[in-house]
Amino acid sequence: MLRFSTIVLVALSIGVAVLGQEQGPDPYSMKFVQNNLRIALASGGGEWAGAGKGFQRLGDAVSIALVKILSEQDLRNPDVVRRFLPIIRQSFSYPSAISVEADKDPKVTLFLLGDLEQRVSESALRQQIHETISFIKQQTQK
Amino acid sequence: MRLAPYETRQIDVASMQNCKVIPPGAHWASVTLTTDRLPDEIVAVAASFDDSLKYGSQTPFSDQLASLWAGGHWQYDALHDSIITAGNGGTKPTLAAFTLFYNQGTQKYQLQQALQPGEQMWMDIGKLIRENIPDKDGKTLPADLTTGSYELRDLTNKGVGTLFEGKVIYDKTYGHVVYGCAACCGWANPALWYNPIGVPFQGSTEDGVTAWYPCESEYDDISSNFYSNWSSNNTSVATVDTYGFHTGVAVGSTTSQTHGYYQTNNAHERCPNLYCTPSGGVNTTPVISSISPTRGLINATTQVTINGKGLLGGHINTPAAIQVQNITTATNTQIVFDAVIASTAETGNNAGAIYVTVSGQDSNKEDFYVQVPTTLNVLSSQVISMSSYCVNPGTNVYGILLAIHYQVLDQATPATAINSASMEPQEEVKNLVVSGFSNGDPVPNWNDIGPDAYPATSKVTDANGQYWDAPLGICWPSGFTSFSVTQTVTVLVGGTRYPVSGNARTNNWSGGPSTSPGTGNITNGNDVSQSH
Repeated sequence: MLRFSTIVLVALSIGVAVLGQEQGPDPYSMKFVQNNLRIALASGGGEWAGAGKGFQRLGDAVSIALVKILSEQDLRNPDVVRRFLPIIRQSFSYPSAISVEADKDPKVTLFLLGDLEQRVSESALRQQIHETISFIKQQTQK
Repeated sequence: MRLAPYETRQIDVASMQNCKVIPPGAHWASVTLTTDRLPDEIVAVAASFDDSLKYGSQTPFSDQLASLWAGGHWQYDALHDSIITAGNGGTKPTLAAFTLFYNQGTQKYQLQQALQPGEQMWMDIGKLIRENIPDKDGKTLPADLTTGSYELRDLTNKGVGTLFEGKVIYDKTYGHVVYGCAACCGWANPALWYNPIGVPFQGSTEDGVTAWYPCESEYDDISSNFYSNWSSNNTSVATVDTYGFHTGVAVGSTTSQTHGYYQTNNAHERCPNLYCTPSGGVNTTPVISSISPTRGLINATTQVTINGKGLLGGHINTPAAIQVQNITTATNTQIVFDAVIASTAETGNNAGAIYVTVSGQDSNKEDFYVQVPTTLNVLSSQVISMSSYCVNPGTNVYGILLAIHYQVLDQATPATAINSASMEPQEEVKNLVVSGFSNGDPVPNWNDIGPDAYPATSKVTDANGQYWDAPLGICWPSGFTSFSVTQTVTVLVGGTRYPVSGNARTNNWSGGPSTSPGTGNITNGNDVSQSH
């Protein structure tokens, strides 16, 4: 619990520093991430493809938004985790498209995934998280 | 014959007829008296009397030449007839027009005849009426016509005419004859056509002389009277030829003038000729032959090339909201610069917006059209791989994905492509409904359409103002009966969203059903419809 709280604090501070550059009605893209996570949850993984490119441009900011959107209970829910893992994966699938330079560095994402990997009990899901971490490291290695 | 001072000499026409110098059957004649003396030194009068000397008539000779004679009353009936003559008193052939006005001037009858020098035309009004002789337009005079007015016009010469005129009305019963009294018409206030005249550098512009013609309340061109007398005060700036054609030699200013005679409108003095020297300024100006492009995107920078002549050292003039920056070429024939078009620029056509000033002389002015992104045109659309572009690209994905190629168009009618790489297409995608279930707004706020993983997508348009929207469509984990969603698109330029009101495009996408993986269809009900 203490560990997760630390992640949230780090995420918030980074989010303000990075996304504060974008002044708009939804500076943390929370509405965008929330809407599309809801679609994925309701449909079992469906998406409007135009949203996928939105994730590709957000990079690490997707995880910041997830931390801000989801409750602690949501983050313990395997079904919810299972639905946002592809979104996190999508957010680093095309790193050159990430709009904000700082969001190309998956610091918050790896914190979040590392915490989840420790906390989930379902081995298949843990494996999925592990694969996602590997994918992101591979996509962002310099 | 030779006349002594104050001598009066009588020429007996009747005896000429008796001697058959003149045909015995001739009843009327036009007589010309030629002298080498000054006007009015010889005064001639034609007179005819019967044997009793009780009945007779006299008419003075006219020595006046004019280009227009406006004549008063003529008369024809059982007791009267009118005869009107006109002759060419000039040294060159001329075309004379004779017009009869009748019915209170509302109708006219026109004859034209080419007259050699010294030749005359002869109009017997009675004969024209009696014999239904058609005029130049095939029109005849009414048989019951009895009176009207007339005019004689020199169609070849203006300024100084060459026609003389004569008219008699005779009374068949009493032998009474009235001679005509047509009045001459002349011109007033001669001036150059242009003052100053603009002459393009290494080009030519014609100038001439115009004068007010009170008889018809119009300005007439009397340039021919001033030919061969033109001159320029500075031939290194502009030259001028015999006919008033000015040629620009160097950008700058000078004056030119000509001189000649014109016939004044002083009818009391029978319209004497007057000498005058009209002059005016001459400005040799730089010339823009073309600008390219003639259109530019609002709130962006467009590189503009001006081609022309005499442009060296020129200052480029533009509206305040179109700033000139970064002049990369500046020669006599070409200027290349960046036109920085502000968001406050007047949209649409800016008439005469761009011109060049050299040595105080302005070139011709060229229009420039400020374009506003207003609509999007679909250039092509194609189905693309779902396995490559869906977030969950498993084998059991239902739906369809497209790549659509768009062209941004301006507000013109018809709309024209905006050739600029400064446009950032953005979209909102709202109200996704799948199988009747509302899924909210996938893209609730304006978001860039590109770039993404699909090749050729980018944040901004290419230099032609085109872009790709891909992937576009639905990836669904199960079969569905239908879907619908609304995509609106606008274009950001320099941080400002266009069009200012409304959207560049609204796509109401719909499709379905998709009953097996890898199948689906989609349409916007307009110009895109695909399936796989």
